[in-house]
Amino acid sequence: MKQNKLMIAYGEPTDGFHHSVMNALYHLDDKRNVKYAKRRKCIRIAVAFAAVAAIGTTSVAAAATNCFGLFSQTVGKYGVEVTVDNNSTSSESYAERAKGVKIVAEYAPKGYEASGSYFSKSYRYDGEYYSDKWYYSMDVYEAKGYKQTEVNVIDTKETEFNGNKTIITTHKYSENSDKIYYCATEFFEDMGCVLQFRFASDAEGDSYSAPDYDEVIKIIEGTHLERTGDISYNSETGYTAKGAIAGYDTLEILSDSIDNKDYITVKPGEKTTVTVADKDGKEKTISVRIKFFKELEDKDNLSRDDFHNAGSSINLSDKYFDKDGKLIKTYTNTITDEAGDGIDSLGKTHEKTYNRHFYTADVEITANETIEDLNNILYLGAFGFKNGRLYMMDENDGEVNMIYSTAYYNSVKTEKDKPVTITVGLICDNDSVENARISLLTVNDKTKNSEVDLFELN
Amino acid sequence: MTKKKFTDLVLESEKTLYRVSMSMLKNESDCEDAVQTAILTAYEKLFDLKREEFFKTWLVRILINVCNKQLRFRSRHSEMTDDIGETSLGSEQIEVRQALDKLPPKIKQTVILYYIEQFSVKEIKQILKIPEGTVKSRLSKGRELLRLELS
Repeated sequence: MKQNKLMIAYGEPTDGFHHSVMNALYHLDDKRNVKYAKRRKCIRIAVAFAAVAAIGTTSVAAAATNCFGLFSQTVGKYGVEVTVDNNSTSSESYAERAKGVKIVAEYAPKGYEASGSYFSKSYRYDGEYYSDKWYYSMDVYEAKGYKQTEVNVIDTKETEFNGNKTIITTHKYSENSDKIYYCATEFFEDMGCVLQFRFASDAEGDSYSAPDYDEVIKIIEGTHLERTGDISYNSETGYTAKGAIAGYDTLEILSDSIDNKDYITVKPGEKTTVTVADKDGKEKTISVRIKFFKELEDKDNLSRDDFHNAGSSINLSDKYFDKDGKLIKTYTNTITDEAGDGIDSLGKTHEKTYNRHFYTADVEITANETIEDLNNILYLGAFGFKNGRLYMMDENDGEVNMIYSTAYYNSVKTEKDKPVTITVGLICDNDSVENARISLLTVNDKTKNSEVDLFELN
Repeated sequence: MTKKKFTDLVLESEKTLYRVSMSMLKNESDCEDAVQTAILTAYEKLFDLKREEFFKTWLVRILINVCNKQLRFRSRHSEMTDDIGETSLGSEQIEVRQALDKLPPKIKQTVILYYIEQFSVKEIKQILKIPEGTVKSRLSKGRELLRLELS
């Protein structure tokens, strides 16, 4: 790569650009003057609030001096901007995870179970992720600089819980849907934190019921914050599927390969040769084919026990199976017909029903040498492939997804001339099996070269 | 940090700010708006900058956020204002720029930050908020694609 060649690609900054830089530097202090003017306005608002709410003078005086409090301001027709520092002129939403603070929830509706951490909790009925019942979550953030733009808002209410100013917003998903959800932002001034609540339901059609507003109030009332040890929040970015090559954004690599037409298509029954690299970067050759592919029939009674070669170690998602372990054959999704921006428009939606089909496949791998831990060297996934792009969920064709693989929980090893089989299970909705592909991705950790093979199934 | 120090550091970064914004926005006028917003935002948020030696990385991150916001606004309002501004460039520059423009956006951004702006993998990881492995795989892919395009 000739660096000099690249560096000249955009040339030197133009006079206009330089002038813009100088202009900004010249006016740096102008922004500060604007902020000072706002501060005076804030004092008047804070004093008025004190007169109405009759709160103790100390916190109000502090708020008046620092112009620090919880503020809401409408944006467009359906937007509400919630901020703590009314001096903030930042145009971006901003929320930083709070450190050294934990959420203490003393009330939960009957049947709801908690999961999460000190600073982020969610509650679901019976602890079930895919329940039809509404669910709620809480997250705590630093108050300093906090700014969020709530969208799709149809009602805003300012109130107080336990002396903490709280803004509750009611939201609608779209113009032609009756489904609503609630958000609440509570300001814990003494802790320098903001607690954000969300109450929603993912259920569709007749199964949907709005979050119970009386319970919403009880939940907010029954939640407070406490100081704790220095627990810091650390987030991993990027998408990594189960069983994927650790440290790589596998979906991104696959998508990039598709965009750049850098992949191989393998027809049903055909074999392909793939290069894999072990942890030392040494390249080895394997051949791969789909040996067996079948739709499991008798879907009326299909259950976890029916999976081909699944064994007891397989953990299948509750999303696809009901409490009795039977496959959920149909489900409903909300499709957006017209997107709203949530500020000036809500958008339009309709509901669509999908029929689930379950397929199982055996992926046979042959090598002429021993290769250990193959499941950490290659990534097997399932996606839809249509119009030159990969998808897991398409609004017309529904979902294509790999929902289990024997490689998730068992180490896969090849030996000379001794094929090894990985059994996988796929969900394909409606007719989407024609678009379904089992994807095979390998990445050489030393050279960063990747190979993508897409196996057609039908 | 004093205002003078801030000014000096911004001027030192001017070329980087120009190249990064042009690679994303491809329009002189939009770049001028974006850099002004980024500089003013950076000055307001100076308290966020923990160490002075990270100033350039931090300022580029702010600029990328501003550019992304402008691109989203542009796509929402269907403004097609791409002005490649190639008239004043030599043929080699045009060739290289066109090759860069053909890269998928995320790979292009990473290639520019690494090979043109000479940020390290670690710095790019902080600017773009992606894992180190992803930075490396994008660079590898970018190299391959540019090699094909420019050969």
